[in-house]
Amino acid sequence: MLRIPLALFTVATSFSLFAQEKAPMAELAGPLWTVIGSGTAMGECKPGDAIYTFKAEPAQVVVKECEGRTYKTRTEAVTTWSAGGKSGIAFGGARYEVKSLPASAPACKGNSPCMRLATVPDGKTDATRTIYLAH
Amino acid sequence: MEETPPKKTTDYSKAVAPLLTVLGISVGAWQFTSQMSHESKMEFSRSMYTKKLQAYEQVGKAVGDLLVVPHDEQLWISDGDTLAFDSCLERFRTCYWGVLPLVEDSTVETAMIQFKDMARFYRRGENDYHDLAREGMSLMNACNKSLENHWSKPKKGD
Repeated sequence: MLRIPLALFTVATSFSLFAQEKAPMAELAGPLWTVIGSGTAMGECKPGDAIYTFKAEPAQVVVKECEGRTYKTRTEAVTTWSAGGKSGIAFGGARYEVKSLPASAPACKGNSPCMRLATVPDGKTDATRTIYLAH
Repeated sequence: MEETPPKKTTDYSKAVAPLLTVLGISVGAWQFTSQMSHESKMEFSRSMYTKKLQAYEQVGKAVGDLLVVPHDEQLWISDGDTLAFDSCLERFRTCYWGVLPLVEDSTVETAMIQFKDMARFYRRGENDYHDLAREGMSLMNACNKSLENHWSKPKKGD
């Protein structure tokens, strides 16, 4: 008698967990994300400029960061994490919480869609980093 | 009749008595030293607990002040509240840099950083009041746990 409700509960739980873990990558995967305020991809860049391209399969991110006046490219594997009721993605040795922001948020400067990647404290340093991305 | 020479007997009791005395004094001294050491450790732990409690009370006050700034617990910060919010955030930052580093453990430190970041995000209109209140509760829970663990856990890297 209990088998059907139990099976339904298991399936529902698995789906919800799956959905929770995939959500940040589902939002990010696909187009180029530029750090808000960056220059163009092809032109000269300034320190702090960066372009991120997330891929869902395999889970990875191509990071173009400005060094000198040109972009240097590197690829990082992306994993998902979840702890203490929070979840997000991890790459390049840092864990990030991902949040979609409205274009009206000052940091988005009118860009939509706008995503915020905020690092989670790692216990080694007090400094946390926040990256605001837009297409 | 032949006379037998008297047997040479060693009187061990003469040697044992001073040995026992020395042993007794040594054990007594060791017990006294160990008791004193335990007492001083307990005294240090007690004073650390008191300091921790006072620091966490200050943090609790700063968090509470920040959370009551938005009148009616409205979802987003209003322009009228920003000045008071900034002033309370300043007090929280004073606790963060000035009071807690001496007593906090890693869990409290992480919760402090997360609350500080969330206050910043709330101030910028990126997160709502519920997120800020949730982080505030997490921080106070971390402080509570830290006090509970003070007497029970062995200190490892904290």
